[in-house]
Amino acid sequence: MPSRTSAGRLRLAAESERTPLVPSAVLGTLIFVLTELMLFAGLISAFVIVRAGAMVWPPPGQPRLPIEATAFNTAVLLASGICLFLAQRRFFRDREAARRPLLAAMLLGACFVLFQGIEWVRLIREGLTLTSSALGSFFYLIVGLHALHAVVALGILVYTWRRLERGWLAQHQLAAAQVFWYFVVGVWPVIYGVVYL
Amino acid sequence: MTRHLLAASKRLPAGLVVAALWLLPRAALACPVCGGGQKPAVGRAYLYGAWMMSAIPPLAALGMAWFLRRRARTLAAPARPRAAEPVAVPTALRQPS
Repeated sequence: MPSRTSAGRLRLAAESERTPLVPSAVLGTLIFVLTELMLFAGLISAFVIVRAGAMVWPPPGQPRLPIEATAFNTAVLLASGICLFLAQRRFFRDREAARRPLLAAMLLGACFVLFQGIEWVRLIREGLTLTSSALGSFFYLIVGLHALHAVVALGILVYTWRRLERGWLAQHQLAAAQVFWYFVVGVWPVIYGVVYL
Repeated sequence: MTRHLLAASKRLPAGLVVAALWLLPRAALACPVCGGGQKPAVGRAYLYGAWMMSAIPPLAALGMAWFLRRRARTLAAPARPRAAEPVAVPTALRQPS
């Protein structure tokens, strides 16, 4: 039955070329982000319990966390998220037009990481270290873990940018990078609200 | 003697239930929300933490289901006709007008 075989082959070929509901890169990143979300939820929960059990909070003799400066830094990170959203919108219409907002998202993200680093150096000099108090331990654990995610996400954005520059960037690659960056941007206001305020 | 053993074995499940009920309050006290918090604020913090940790997985599953449904609808919708894109022609191949 040669006709049936070729028809079957044709059908198989057509099925294999169907658009997947969610690209594997995006689905994998989404699942990874969900596990990371639970990790942050656990750490934030532990921080809230320790803070509630403390007699005095913040612990005496510890420097104050930079609330105003970090609020500005939060705005910078949110702006970078908006830039990435604009990059994706433009990428659909014209790939070249996505370059500027993607570059802006990258630069704003780099500013956030740099500013966080400067704040850390200042806080360490003022005496807030990992072992100085429960505040210091949780601050460096939670904010440090977020900074690590921000650095990795920034690396992914740089990789995405390079692929865009060479004309190799596929839509699902940009989407996967977006999911991870949105996670970094989205979880930060929660951390800021719980740890800093 | 055998009769006594048989009667005792029949009472065993009931005895186990009574023992479990007797031990249950201790198990409840082991829960940090019920008995572990020295201050009401600590109990509340445990409670909010437990709520948050319990709420995230179902919310994430619902969010994922909503996203997949939306994506499936987008893919199932007929593609909108797109305007013809201009084709780049090298200068050497262009016909003089």
